[in-house]
Amino acid sequence: MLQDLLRGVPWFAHLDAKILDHMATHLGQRHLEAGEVLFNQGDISYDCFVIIDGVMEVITFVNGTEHRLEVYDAGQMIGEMALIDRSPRSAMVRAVNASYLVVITEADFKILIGSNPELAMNMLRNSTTRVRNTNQRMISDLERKNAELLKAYQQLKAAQAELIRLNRIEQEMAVARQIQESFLPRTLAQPAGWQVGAYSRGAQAVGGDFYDCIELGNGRLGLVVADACGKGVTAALFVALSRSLLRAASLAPWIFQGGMIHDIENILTGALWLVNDYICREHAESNMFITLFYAVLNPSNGALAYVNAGHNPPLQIDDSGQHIHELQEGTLPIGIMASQEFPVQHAHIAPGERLILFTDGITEAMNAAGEPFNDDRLHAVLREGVGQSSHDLVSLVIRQVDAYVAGAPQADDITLMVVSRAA
Amino acid sequence: MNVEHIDDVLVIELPARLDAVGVAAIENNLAETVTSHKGKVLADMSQVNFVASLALRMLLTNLKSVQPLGGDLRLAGLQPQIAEIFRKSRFDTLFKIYPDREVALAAYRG
Repeated sequence: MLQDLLRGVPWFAHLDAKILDHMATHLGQRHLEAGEVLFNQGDISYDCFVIIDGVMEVITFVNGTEHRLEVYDAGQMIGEMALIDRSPRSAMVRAVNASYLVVITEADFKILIGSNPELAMNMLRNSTTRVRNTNQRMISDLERKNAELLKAYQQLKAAQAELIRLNRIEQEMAVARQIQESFLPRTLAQPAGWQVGAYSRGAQAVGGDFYDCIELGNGRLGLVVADACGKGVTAALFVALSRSLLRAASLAPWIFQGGMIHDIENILTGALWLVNDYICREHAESNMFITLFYAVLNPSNGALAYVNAGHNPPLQIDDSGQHIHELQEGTLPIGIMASQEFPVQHAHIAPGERLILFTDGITEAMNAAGEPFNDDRLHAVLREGVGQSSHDLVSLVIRQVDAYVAGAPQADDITLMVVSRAA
Repeated sequence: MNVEHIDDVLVIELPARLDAVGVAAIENNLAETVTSHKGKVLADMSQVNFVASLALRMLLTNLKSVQPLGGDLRLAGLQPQIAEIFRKSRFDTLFKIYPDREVALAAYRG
């Protein structure tokens, strides 16, 4: 019966019946289950095999991962390479399904090719074709890998160029941030009997909030908190513009506002008018606006003259911390309506009281659930901080806002100024 | 952004969150819709629960674009916290604001 099976194998089709009989009685046989390994890569053995039935796969390992090189089925010969060049097995061979093979030892192989030159020629042809196919496959693989590498290299180059570009922007933003920080007052004036503390932090590299503390002469102190619409670079440009104009107009009113101006309230309204008029005139098409609270404090008696251009009304707190009230709202923000008047309003800060100036980045700071810190929480922390210095109260509020948002991304710039009068 | 015509009024229902992202999503479409209408516009803000300053700017820009054409942009249905923002910024003095859509439409008819 094995003779019949061997006869069906093309390799042996032309062999004499005598030789086939001899083979059938002498050749070893192997039965493999699906998944069973015939030999492993690196094994040293010099038998080759002819598949009588079943399917075998040739597997190699690249970086620990299996790659199937070939699949052979009934009638095909495997493992003859090691037999010919006596080298370790170059790949693993494994049964795909239940397979039946005959084993041809080196001695059998010699007898076979010696007895039948046609068989030897076929085997040579077979091996040559396999080598040729393998070469061709390797070349195709190399070409494909080369194309992939080239593509990866181009992507890498593009990514690197993008990285360099982003780095440059980041460096520029870092410089812009430094410049913007220099727009905040280097020191905060601390008139006798008063404490001023302030803090500002942008949501992005540069911000749309600012505060200022301007020493106006005669001991008067200009206190400013402002918030340009939006955030980031656009807002920062308007911060630079409005802060500079406001400060210059406040410190040199005789140049910017004309004539000799001595009245502090006129400096206040004149500076606001100038900044508003300039932005409305020069930048109307951008529709940018700035909410701005500007107060002039007379530290000697606690009198506060202020203009509120659309900014969150500051809070005034008594010495017990129990009474918190908003200063009156004022006019539209700066940059909306040309020639707008900015009427001055008045308040009085009594001994022990304090004034809290802030931007909506504090009350609208969002936690991860999208809920704002809101006015109530701000009022609660202001009560909690009663008796603390201005500086400490600023730190306390910022700490509580940060704890509330608990790492959620900062949505808006936050700015806070606390002005306290000693009891 | 839901848009409908009621009589000669273009009624636009603004989305809930008008933060930087929300504004960017509707800004161009809104400007185009409002300027091509050239007439009475009503922004129904009853769904809006957050406005960033950029949203105020967007409304201001649209107001400025319709007024020279003889139109108007009015607001209706501000939730309390939104009304607070309009009060503090005094944007309540720029716009005619109504409690709800029906009252605003009646005012446009009158």
